Amino acid sequence: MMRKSMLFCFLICIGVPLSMGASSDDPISNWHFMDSDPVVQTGVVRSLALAVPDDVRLSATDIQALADSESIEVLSRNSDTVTLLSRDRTAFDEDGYTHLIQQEAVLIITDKGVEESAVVNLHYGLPYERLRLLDAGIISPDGTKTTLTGDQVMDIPDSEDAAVNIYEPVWRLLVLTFPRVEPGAILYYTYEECAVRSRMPGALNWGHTFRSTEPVISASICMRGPVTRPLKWFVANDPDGAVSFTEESSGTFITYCWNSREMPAIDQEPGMIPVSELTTSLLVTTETWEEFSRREAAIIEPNLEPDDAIRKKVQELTAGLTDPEEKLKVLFRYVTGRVRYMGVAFGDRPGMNPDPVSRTFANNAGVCKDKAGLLTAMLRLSGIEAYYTLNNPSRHIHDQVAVDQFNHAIVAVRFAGDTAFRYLDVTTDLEITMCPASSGGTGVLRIDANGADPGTIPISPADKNMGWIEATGTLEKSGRFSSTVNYRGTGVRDALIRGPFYYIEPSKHDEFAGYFVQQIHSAAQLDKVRVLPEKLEDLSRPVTMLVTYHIDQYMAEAGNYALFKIPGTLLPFDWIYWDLKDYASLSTRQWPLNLDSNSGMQITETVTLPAGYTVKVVPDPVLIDQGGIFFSQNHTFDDITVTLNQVLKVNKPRISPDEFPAFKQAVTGIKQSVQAYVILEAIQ
Amino acid sequence: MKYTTWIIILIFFLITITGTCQAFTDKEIQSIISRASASDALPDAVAVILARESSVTIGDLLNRTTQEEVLLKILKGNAKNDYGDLKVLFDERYDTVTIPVARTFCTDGSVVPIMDGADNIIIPPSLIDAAVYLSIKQRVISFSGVEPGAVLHWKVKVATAYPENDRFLWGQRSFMEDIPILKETFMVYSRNDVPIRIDILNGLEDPVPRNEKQFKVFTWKRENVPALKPEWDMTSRFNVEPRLVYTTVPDWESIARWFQEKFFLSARVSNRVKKEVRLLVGEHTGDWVALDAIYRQVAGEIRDIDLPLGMRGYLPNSPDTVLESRYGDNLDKAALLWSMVTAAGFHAAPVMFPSVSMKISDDFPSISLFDAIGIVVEDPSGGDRIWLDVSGEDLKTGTFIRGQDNQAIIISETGYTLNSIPAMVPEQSRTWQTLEFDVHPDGSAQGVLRWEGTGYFDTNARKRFREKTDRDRKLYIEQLFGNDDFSPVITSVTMTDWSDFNKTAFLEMSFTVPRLAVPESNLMVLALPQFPFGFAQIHLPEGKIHRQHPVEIATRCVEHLKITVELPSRYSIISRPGSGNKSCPALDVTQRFSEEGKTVTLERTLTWRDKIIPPEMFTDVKEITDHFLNLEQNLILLEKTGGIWSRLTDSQGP
Repeated sequence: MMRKSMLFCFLICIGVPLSMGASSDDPISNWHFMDSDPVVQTGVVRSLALAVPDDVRLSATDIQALADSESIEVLSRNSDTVTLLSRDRTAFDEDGYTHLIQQEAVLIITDKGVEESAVVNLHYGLPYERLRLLDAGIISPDGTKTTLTGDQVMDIPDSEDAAVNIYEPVWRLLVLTFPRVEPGAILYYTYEECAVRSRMPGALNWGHTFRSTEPVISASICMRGPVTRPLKWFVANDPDGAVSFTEESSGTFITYCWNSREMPAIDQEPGMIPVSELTTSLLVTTETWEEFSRREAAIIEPNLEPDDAIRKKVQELTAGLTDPEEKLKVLFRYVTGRVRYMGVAFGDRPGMNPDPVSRTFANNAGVCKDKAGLLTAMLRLSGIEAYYTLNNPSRHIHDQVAVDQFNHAIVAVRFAGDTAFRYLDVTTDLEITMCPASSGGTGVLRIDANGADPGTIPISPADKNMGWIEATGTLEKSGRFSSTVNYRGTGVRDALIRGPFYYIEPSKHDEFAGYFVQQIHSAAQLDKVRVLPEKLEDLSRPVTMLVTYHIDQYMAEAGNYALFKIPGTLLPFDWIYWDLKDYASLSTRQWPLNLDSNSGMQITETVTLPAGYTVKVVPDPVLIDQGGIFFSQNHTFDDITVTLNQVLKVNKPRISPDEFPAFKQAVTGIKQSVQAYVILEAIQ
Repeated sequence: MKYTTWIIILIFFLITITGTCQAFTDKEIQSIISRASASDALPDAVAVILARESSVTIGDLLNRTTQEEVLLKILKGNAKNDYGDLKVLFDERYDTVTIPVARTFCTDGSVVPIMDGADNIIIPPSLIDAAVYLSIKQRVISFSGVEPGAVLHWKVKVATAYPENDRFLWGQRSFMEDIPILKETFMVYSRNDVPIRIDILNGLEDPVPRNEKQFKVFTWKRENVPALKPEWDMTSRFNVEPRLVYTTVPDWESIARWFQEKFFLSARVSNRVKKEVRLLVGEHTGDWVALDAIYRQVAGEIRDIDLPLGMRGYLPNSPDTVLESRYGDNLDKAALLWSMVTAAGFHAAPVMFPSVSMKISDDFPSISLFDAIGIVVEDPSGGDRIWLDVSGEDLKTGTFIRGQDNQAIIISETGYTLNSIPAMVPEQSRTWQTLEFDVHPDGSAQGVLRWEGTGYFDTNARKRFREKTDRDRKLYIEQLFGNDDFSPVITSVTMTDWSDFNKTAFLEMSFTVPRLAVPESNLMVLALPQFPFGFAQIHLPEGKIHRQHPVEIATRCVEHLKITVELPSRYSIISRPGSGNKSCPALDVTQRFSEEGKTVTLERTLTWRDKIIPPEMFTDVKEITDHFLNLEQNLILLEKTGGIWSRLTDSQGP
């Protein structure tokens, strides 16, 4: 097999035309979207000339033998599939061009495994790679082998991001539709990928997952590269040393290999931290973080050069402003509010480089990288130190080696005299704090011509993400209850009101607010909802929601008594409490729980009692402070009113499995406090 | 949910390809823009169609041109993401899309074209998993300068040419959008020799007809059309939007003949099919065992490719091909099922139908809105026909939930009949939820919760549980149950074998609760818990009591609830729920409360008699359900009797 591959490279290198293209009827061994573009031809020839190490692929018989492993029965319990084989062989050169051969085999265990695995999408990007399928088929439980044919291999644009207005058909999917998929069958495929150009010129930057949400029987990776570009690598989440490493030098090349033992699945739990933080992963690079930052800066900075129109706009927007905080707010709100989130492929490095800021400005359109680029340029024009910055808002990164784990671009700023940076997320159009609290703790890397090390966005405390509810209600003898609720919030609590009311059409606001009111009682009827400011994109003012509602039969008469709950005890407007309830429902947790951010809610609600009744008993006071949760609740009363004072705070955005019992107990305590009633007694 | 998604795509497809034929002049455009409403005039709208001119021209029985010219104004910032892109769905085999104009009139008076790279052809994201069958594409034009006050202007032309005998020219068009339309003209041009027929629905006005050269022309002019304002759980938009449907087919007979040629050409009873059937049914022919085995094989073991009927055409892949690949769309699976049941000795025929609720006249010959296909089988013992939904991997054999009450066409090898899909009567879908528990003097409790269901509820439960691993089922139940305010602790769970469709679907769990009843002073408050299983109940939409559109529930059904409580000793009942009945045409609820010593029992039965609940009836339905959800109907208030407490409280006085 190795010889065949080398011969192929040799033929290409001596100038035999590339006889490939999407026109062939045979979907296997067919290069997808090969064209006559000289850049593509040159890149492909260069990449294919790199001999991949240890290019010995497993035969279908070998793969079947893996499925006979004694441990399969144990490993596959509670799994839908088992990865029998994941074998990656890559060669790279000094400029970051790569040639890869990847072999995968998956054993189907359940019907759900059939649904989830019968279609395999191989992703690639036309500006960067070409792909061809070397082998793809299925071994049925009876041993029959079927190879994919015809339309079972389709090369199509990857439009998975169209839902968020990203339309970039340069991103492609090679879709493998496997026939005869059933429990007990084994899917296998091997593909070859060669670089057209390096995504990160002059560097190799790469990651691979050994352990995932399904068990893995055999995984191995070998990489071969020049001695002048030695690899720095790190295996994340491998406390038991399940991944072994060997290195072999032969003249001008070094071959690095990592092999893993059998790995059980990561069993998923609702609300857990991202699986990608827990997977046993290999991270590989040829550079340091500082080099990474400098290299990217050299590519990206030219696109941040403003034109006259941008200069004029910055002057116009910041005229008369001297306070840098004011300038920052004005420019942030301009870019977030005006530039529509929309992506189309542009330039030589689509998906990686921000568009030239003049293009983003002129068209009012761009995705995170384009908006971040424009804001960076505008802030600099206003005299504020600003950097285009990479971030991954959905997970924490492994920063031991300089491997790109980012999927988002934001802006880092620092005012004169400050040492710490602040971070601005220009895609959060409605974030009054300019950076969502949920980004706290996530990794960032400034793109700086002087180089930079990775950092993290500070975690925002609960006090910066508070909601305040003040409500007054009246209970009538008939049982009817009417109430006015005033809700205001900051940080995440502001965003939780502002966002939905901004994005939901005005005609549905009543229905939306009515939904929350009906969490108090199914018969609750919204009378009115008003959200201020009128223009919710106006971030200069915190949001306020005013709700009036009534419930015809809220109080229950029971003999000489009457019962009701102060609606605030039910936390009907507290979305975050609903999540807490959900997350606390499991008996134990294996993985940390992700609550996204710290936050809190303070409720003061007074209910005027109906004439003819006196308070017999109110719920006992509650004080809970454990497991990252603080909760206090107290009812006070006089002859005419009952008042609820309640505070709930989440003080830890992540709860470890060890902390979970205390967290669960705290949430259970809150739930139990909800059960108690105010009991009135009729005055005789 | 899966099918709803498809329908939205279909609607979009059909709406989008209709278009204008009369171009606005520059002067008209400037006039329309200058007169355009500011956002204050339409406070509920995020965007508005200032003007839309569109037309469908039917040149002959195979060719159609649709054109559209639109001026759309962005009113609010939140519209820029939803209305900043023009998306045209098309079939690359037959459609040619041209977009001669796509530009933005900006607020500063400038006019900007789309930027480089902003004209793309993609695969609709929902179709990626159906790549093996794909010819449907989406052209996306992304406008520049989209912000409040900007006006987007586009012209689209789609020329469609079908091969001979591939399909008929038919279609439909809605006259209502989610945003208001200030002015609209829509025209249908049809050559005089084309037997076009147009039906108008949901209050659309009659067209103004005229003749122009060789064409019949039908014109609709509308002004100030309000936005649809959709509501949660509303009935299908097809039932509320003013709409026209058109067809060029003279009669159902023609459709039947055309379909027969396609379907029965592929759906052969081959030797491979016969062999497969023999393996499955053994000696059974023409009986329930055979039918059940075949249905389970096709519905459950042939992987479903999610494509609505007609999107890729009407010619199924052969049963041999589908047996070999073990995947297929609705049409492929129908052809396979038909051939297998035929091989097993049944008389069967394919049936096409709309999968979402839709009222269509049965004298309007078109299947353009029929997005699903199944099989009907004659009962050899002379009973009712058995309807089989080929996409229902969680359906018991003969349970047919989608498209109830809708019109359907059954096409056999020799003829056709138009039928309504039989509505499931309430008694075909029952759910029994029973809860038995003992309350202890400290308010804690222990008990057993049991659920059992048939029909719709059986299917609904299997959807949740069948494909889950044991661990995931346990997690799911923990989450459902543990989310309850009572914080129950599950001590044991038993459930049916969800893959065995001959077994009754059931779930039973034992639990303890640290505080189910709350002792307060000398009283104890016992609010009877709600049942936690969402899949076992009918849910009415929340948020609004006075609705604009009808609500549609999943099916007619009966819900039985029974709670039996062993009360703690030394407590007596002060107050308890009553017995009674409330009803309206859509819903009937009866409740019975009984006491026997320390054991009390609450039984409630809800009979849902109608699937579609009109707005005026919804308030009645809500009133009834709310009545039984009121605390008074679920509260048992207990008072401590005798013992030290009683003496203390007695001595303390009131």
